[in-house]
Amino acid sequence: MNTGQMIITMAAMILLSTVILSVNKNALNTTSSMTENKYQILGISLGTALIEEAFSKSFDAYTALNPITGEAEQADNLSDLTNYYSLGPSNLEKKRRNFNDFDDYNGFVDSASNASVDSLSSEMRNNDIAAIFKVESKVYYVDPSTDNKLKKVNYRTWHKRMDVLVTSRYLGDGLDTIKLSKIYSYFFY
Amino acid sequence: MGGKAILIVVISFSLMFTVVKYNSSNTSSNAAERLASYYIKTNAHNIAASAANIAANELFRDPNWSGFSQDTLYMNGGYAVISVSKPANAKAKFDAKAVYKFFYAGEEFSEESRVNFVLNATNYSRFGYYTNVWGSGYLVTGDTIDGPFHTQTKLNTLGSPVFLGKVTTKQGINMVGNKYGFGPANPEFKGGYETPVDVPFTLNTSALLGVASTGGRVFQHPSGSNLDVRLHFNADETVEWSTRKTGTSSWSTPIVADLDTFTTNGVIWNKKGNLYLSGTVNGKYTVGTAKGGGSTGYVYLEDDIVYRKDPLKFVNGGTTITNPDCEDMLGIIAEKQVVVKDNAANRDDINIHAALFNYDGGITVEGISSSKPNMGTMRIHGSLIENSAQTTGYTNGAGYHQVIKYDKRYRNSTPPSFPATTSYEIVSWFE
Repeated sequence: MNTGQMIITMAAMILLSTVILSVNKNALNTTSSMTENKYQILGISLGTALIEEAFSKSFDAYTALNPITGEAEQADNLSDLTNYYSLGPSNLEKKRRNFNDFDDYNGFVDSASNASVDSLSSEMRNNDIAAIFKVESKVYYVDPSTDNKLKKVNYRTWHKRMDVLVTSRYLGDGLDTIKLSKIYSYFFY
Repeated sequence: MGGKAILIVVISFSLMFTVVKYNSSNTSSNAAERLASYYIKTNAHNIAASAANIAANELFRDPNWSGFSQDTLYMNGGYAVISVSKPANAKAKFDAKAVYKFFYAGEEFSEESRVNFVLNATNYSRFGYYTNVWGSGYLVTGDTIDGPFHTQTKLNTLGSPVFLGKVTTKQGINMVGNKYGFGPANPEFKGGYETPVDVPFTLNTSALLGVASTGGRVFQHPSGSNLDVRLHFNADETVEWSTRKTGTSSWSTPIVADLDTFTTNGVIWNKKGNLYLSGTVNGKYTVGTAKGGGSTGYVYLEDDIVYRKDPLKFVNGGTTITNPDCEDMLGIIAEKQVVVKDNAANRDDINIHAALFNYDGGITVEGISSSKPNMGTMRIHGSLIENSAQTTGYTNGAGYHQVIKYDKRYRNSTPPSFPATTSYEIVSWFE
């Protein structure tokens, strides 16, 4: 092998090495991206599931089905509804399975992998290895007639907004916090 | 030669790796796009659905609501543009278009989502039986209520009455059992049960007068006195009518009129007085009377008032289905109540094909008492709406044995301008 052939061979090896390194880097990026996507989609689904669960409950404790009489009250006045500073579960609603109205989810915090109907309303297991996702929800009144930004108001209205935040150390830079919001309004058929 | 061969091999490998890298990048890029799409679709839908929820609340509280002063609602990084319209047919249509924009991995994604729904006034005729005030009586074992049922007070049941349609009440239900030999409290709700549901009892006589004045037929005494109107419907689509001043005995000479020209929109309204009805209905009409004080506002049934074909077809005993041959429809509105005249024609059964609206009472029989003779069966095929139930017969046989069967056509269709509630119901919701 003469000098020219040697140079060509070395150039070829350098080119091959560069390509392999580039492909390897790309493969790692793709794997990382796919993994992040998987967790992000899972996080969105968890947030959506919590919103849907809350929407399946009564608008307010006042309008929830009474387990003793089997009947529900119809809210005629705003004063019938839970006061803005009392939104959240009552003392009898420590566990998620006991939530019977929408605003019981105010202040709810949980680690998704351990979440169940038996979760406590403010139970975050930070030290739990299985705790991949932190799911938090806030519920508050909004007044669209005075504020088209639909921000929190400190009085009772017929509209409650739920914000769900899903965070995880496994979420990527593109979507490090998943935020979902939906408004539940009281209207009777 | 050896060096060139190696270079060719390496370049070939490089090309292959480049293709692999390209595919890998594509996979990564597609996954990111799908994630972004899923996220923004979820958010856009949530925003649109929130706007629809808000609008539904506003429309239920105020049927004339036409939107906020600012028609754009901002939420969670997106916004919804809301639009409310009220077409001439009295329906309200709502449309929310939500837009959500999102930056992911340096790229902007945008998504639109729509939610729209249609509201309509709840028509009373959709109830098989509506009673504003239920009272202290019971529905008992053996009673069967056909069609949707509603009361604005508490319903009392004793034993196991059967409700074939959906039952709604404003003040709940009082289920009593093991009393007077009626067995355990176990009412059967074949169509479901819901409470509290508010369907206020109202009658807008001005609206009916307005409709009758513009394309219908209005009766009123020239002097403004109360007027009695007698209508006898004929199967050939004519009506024989006559009038008299209320309190007098002599009717005017009957006039036969073609119903097509007599009332083009199908509404016949007596401004104040009483209405006397009988005959065979050919077409779709609403007839009624307002009260003028004293003993007026009554609709008197002088004989059967029926369609050319019974709206029900009877199969397997008491089971009924809608008769496809029946195209006629009648609404009878009394600002006081509907009364079956105690005359020779009615003493051997009476058949009523109509939606009956009794604003200040319920259907009853003239001079009914427990000493009256047996008058056979009162068959109502249609819908009964009343303020409170009245007596039509006694357990000793006096008066009528009453049978009410729901005309299921009223679920989707009503007699022209038949009274509706002041509130709305959602008839369609698309998202």
